Amino acid sequence: MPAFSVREHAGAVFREGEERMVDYLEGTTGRRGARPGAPAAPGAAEARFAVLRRRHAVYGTVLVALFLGWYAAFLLMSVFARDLMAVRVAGAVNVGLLLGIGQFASTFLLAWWFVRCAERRLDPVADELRLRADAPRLRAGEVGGR
Amino acid sequence: MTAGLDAVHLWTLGLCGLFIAVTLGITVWARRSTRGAVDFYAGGRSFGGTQNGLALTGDYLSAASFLGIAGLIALRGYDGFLYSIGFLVAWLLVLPMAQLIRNSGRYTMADLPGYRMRRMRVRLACTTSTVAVSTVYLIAQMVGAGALVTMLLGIDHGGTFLGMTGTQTRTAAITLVGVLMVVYVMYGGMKAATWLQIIKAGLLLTATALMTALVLAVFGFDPSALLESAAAASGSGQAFLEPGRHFAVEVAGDPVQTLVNRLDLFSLGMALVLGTAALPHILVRFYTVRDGRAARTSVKRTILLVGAFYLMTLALGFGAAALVGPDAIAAQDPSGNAAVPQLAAELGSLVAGPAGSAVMLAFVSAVALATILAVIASLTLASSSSMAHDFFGHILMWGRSKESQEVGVARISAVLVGALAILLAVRAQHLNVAFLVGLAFAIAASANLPVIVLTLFWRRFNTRGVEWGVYGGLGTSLLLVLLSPVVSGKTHPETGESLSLLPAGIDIQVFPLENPGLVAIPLGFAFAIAGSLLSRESDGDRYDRMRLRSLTGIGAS
Repeated sequence: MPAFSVREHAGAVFREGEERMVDYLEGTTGRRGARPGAPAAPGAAEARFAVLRRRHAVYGTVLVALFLGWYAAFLLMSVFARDLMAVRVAGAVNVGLLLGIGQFASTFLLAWWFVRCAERRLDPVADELRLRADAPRLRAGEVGGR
Repeated sequence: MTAGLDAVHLWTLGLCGLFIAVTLGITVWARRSTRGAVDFYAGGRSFGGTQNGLALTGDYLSAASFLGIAGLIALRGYDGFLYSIGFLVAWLLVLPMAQLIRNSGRYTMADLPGYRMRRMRVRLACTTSTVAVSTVYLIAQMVGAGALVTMLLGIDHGGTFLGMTGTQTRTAAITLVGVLMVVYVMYGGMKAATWLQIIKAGLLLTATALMTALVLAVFGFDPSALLESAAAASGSGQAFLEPGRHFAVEVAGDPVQTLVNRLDLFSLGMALVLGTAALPHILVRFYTVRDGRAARTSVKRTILLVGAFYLMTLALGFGAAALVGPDAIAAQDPSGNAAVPQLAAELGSLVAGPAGSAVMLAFVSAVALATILAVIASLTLASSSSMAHDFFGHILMWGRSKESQEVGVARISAVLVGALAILLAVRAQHLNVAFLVGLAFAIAASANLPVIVLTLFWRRFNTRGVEWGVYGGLGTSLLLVLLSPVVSGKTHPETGESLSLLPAGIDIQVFPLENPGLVAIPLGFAFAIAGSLLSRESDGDRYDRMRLRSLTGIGAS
């Protein structure tokens, strides 16, 4: 696709309130995205967006690190700690089975935790930013990503 | 016994016919309410979080989960459990990304990098990997459908059904499910596919819950008694309940093989955990809901449903070992796929004699076929959407196609994909294709996941990175499988018979692992990063816009 259509497209995609909002944020919060002539940071919107990004990064990283680490530990134990896994706890139930069930329990728990954090700490900030952007939801057929 | 079997066949055919009639009715309804592209690709974005959660569950739980894992547990004990844990925890990687994926894209996976980069080459790469993953997964499911039908009819070891031999029946079954899946997708698009998944998930969970309750009731609701009895019936005692009988088997006096077996387990685990988030038919499902929050809710529901299902397969697997016995299971199907139907028959006869046995077996068989049918319909939809939206719409028509044209092309693509899958599955019907499911996950994790993750989180990512990541990951996975023991070089230690795809004489095996994940996934990421760094292209503005949109939903479609 020729290069000019990128700009053309961008114009069609971001209109009115949203364009203002995006430029506003873009010039101030992007690590290397600052453009000469972009509005200086007068208010709190870009700071709120930085908060949103940081929180999502923290919760997401914690979630993924915890579950990957715990799953890897479980696999390693099933290979290298077979004596431990074979220890019987109650009746025929052994440590390996309990740890396996524990993987299920931890999955439910982590999912619940992440969704709760997202609802309490991410969604309100996103709502606030959406309100400020004052952008009516664009009709599906006209938005970018095509 | 023959009379009893005939009753089973009638019941099975009746229940399958009922399922097909209901789903075709839904397809007709969906056809009427499908007008534009958003209806066809994304079901009008009209589904709620819970509905989509059920549909995701339906998409994800294939026959490999229902019959395969329970069968593995019944035959090998604890190690079958390792599989299901990998399949479940993988959803925790999907959870934080679901909202971002929903907010940044419209219809297909290519929309994500396509938003930042707007290059046709990106679309082409994504279409290639989507079609590759879908086809590999489709063949596995369809060959499974053929094998399942002959097994349920009891003619997999010779004999005929309505005058057809085993091979003819298998071919007929593969063709029938193939034609049905094309009809669902062509006429009903995403609306029909979603309702198909919802009904299937409901049936599957009901059947599993019913059987679990019966198994537990037989053992007086004492899990320990169930385990004790399974271990006793397995012939290997307590070791049946401990890891090491299937994965990471320790070979005495052969440290190299022991190491290979261990690495194979990690390779498979890695592919399962990282592949789920990048399966094309899972990705497109996030676009069927209203917004990012509904996508997140649907993943939360899915985790609960999938988790409950895999916990219940534990009872089914150990129940089958205890009540049917590993010898009887292996006699009917060496890989254990018959364990669940056999258990159903056993439970039915405990409750209501021969009639109960026939009804239960028929019900579970119909559910298994519904499971396969629903999964392959979704896979066909994902690849035909990508062919129409990305390849036709953006590459051939320069992004200026009409919606009606795109939907028309999507329908034709569904026929093409269906025909290709039927052809390949019929050709491969006698091969052992169990490795294909693991391969599909490995390709998804090595070719798709780097593109999705880096598009969402790395500012410097660019067109060449996408291309290198997709083609590098895809190529590495396929090459490693070609050189692996599943294709050649693995023989039975005593009989010398080939356990690989190719006959015993040909040996091109170089790579020791059966699943390429351990090597291919890191390489996929390395290719994507290297490709990006070797190209000057970088568009920080677009990345910032995408970040804003993905996290807040501003401007999302």
